[in-house]
Amino acid sequence: MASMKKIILYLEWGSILGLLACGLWVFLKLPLESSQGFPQKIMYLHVPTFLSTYLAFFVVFTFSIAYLWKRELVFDQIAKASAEVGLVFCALLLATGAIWGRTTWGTYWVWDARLTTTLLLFLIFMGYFLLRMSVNDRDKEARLASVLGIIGCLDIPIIHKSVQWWRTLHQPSTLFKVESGAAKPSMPPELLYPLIASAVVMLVFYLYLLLLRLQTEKRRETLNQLLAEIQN
Amino acid sequence: MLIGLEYVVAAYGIWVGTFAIYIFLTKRSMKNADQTVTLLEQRVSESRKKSIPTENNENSN
Repeated sequence: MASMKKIILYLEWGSILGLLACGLWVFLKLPLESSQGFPQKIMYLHVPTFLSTYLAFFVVFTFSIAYLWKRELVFDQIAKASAEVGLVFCALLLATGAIWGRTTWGTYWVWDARLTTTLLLFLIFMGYFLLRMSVNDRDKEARLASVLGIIGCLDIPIIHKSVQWWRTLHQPSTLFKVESGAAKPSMPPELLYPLIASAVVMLVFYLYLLLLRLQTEKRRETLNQLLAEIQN
Repeated sequence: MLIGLEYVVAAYGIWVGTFAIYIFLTKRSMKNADQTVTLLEQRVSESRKKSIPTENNENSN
């Protein structure tokens, strides 16, 4: 328990300092991008947020399957914690995307395939928490939420491929593009490196939030067990 | 003046503000749960202590 607290503390300060360092790099060191100008700086927030959203929901998918297979409550706790953090990341992904869209497309929102499927993911996971709140039996809650979590995560490959499958306003892959069968960076190194650094720091930040949320979830579980013991 | 500065400030401000509130609420919720768990554990152990002599009395009878 004490070692977990230490890990969370290290991750907290590591990610805060990392985010500050990335912010300084992006705002003080990087040159202005020629076509978009200053609003292009939103990319260093939007793209790492999108990668963290993917990771959070991938964790939900993995641990939901693990719960249905092994029926260990800790797997459901991890899936629940990751879904909550993922939902916050997803909301911010939509918000930062809308603001960036306003500067580049001239509108906050279009019913574009990428945006619509991302909104769908957000709504599915809102439903995931409504489902959890509406079921009283803990095992039933975990079982139903795992099924919905797995179904919801099937939207992620659709989101990812939406820019290829449909004609969209959203740009194709920001990090890499495939040319003659090989993946190549889609931007010059001076713009790419801070983006990769921001993405790595954001993933560490996600890990911090996941562990923090998981600790809270475990305490709530203990609290519920104690309450049940007292009532009996 | 940088063109589009307000959009960048809005995007970064919303992001930082949301996570600041989220972390604050999560930590507060953990602290509250911690305090309640400690109180309930005390209550459970006290009620167990009270029930043990009664059981012993019942056995001796």
